[in-house]
Amino acid sequence: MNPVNSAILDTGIGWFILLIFSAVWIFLGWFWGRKAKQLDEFMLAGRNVGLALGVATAMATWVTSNTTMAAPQLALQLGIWGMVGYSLGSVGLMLFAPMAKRIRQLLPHGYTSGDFIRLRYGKLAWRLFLVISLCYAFGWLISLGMAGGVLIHALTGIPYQLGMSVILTICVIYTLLGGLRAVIGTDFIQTIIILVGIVVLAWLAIDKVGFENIHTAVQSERPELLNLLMPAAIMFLFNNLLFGIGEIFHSNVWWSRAFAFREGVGFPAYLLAGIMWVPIPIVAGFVALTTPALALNIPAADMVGPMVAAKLLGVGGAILVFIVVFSALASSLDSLLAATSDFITQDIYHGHINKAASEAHLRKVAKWVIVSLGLMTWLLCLPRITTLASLLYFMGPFVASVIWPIIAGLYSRRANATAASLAMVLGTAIGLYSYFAIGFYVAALVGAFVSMVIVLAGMWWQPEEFDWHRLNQTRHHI
Amino acid sequence: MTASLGFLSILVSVAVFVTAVSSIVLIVLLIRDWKGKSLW
Repeated sequence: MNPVNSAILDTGIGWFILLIFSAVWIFLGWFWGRKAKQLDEFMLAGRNVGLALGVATAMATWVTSNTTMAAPQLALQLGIWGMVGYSLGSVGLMLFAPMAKRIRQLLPHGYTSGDFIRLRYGKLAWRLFLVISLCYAFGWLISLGMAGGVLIHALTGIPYQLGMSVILTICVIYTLLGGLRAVIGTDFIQTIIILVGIVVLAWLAIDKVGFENIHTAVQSERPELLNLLMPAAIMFLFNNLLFGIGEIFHSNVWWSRAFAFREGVGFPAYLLAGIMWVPIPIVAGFVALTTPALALNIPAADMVGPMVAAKLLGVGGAILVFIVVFSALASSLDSLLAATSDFITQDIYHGHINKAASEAHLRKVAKWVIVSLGLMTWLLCLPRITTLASLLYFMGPFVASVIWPIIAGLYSRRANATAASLAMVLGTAIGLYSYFAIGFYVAALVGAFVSMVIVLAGMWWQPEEFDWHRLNQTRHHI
Repeated sequence: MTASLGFLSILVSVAVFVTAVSSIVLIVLLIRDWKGKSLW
């Protein structure tokens, strides 16, 4: 225990772990990316990713620092339903499985989710979608960058600015060196580290404390956590479900993987990733329920996991949690950097600034965009304005309003372009109004509902007869 | 309605088991893809 700043690991050990893992990720990034000379190789790993790497990258990207740190926090706030509600985030991955298959079939030459919206609904809807998607991507990048600095500081005492700078720099370097191949390759290793880490932690809790002691202590000290009818927790469950679906359906993080997976891999990869993701928040959340039995005094809710680990396994436990959290952060940050860079390169630069750009030129631009994104995130994270990190939660109605235009656009010829644009605007606006007028827990729900009504009304009143072959275009047809 | 000891034990045991099995499944899939030269 560090007596100066109450971090659970010695700062020297923290730096040593950061150094080792940074060297490994950067070497692997260089190694896997050294042959990626073509744009497809760099941006989409050659469009030939197999099942093992496909499942792991979908899982790792969805297991963020939130899953490993906020799931215990939610279990302490909302009890059993907090854990189960969080695990419903996996539904989005499972529902995306058939969509990934269809995306790969309909857009064999696609690069981004923006390509689909542009070809399916035209330029107005495309530009609205770009605004929503970029706002969300920046919100997520900032929240991850800040979480990196905060968690590294809390676990090791390394100053916030230094920890945040280190994790951002590492992710930028290896994504820059290896593109999506480096991201997907490191995701596999990070997934295994996360899975083994949380299983060891839960196993120790069961073995050293026992279910009976945990249950008895929770029942006497925090009985509300065992309440299966807690209304706030049930509300959270539905809101989290919709927010998760909206995040996955629209974000280029998931679309770029659908394009990168070999034909026939998208469906099983996303389905398996979703099934395997279900228990992770439950296992991570369960750890928090041991705190009454261990008589732990938790200073901050997000320190539950590390403190339980340190109590059960001493320094070894704290190191284990640090490695798991570091892996969870890096696996999401690298994916987001790569996917947002693709999005900006293709949809902003190639789509709006330089339509005649060659593949070689775009590959160079993609690298500059990765560096600029890293720099911009670093600058925004530096002052540690926590309200910026909470912007991501504000994005619920934005992403929920895109769910229906995407589903209808992928599966029905009748989906109408004007209705899709209107659905995004009104779904977001009314969702935001309900965010302030009622509460955060209904914002995504309202946004998705309004958007659904408009999209369905458009299909009924003014149905289009869309020709699916229009989606099968090369990127030169911008 | 309160979660019983049995409910909590089963929920967590199943979750831990599935998480542990997931890591094994991933490694098996990786070896299969590696041997079939279909990793990426």
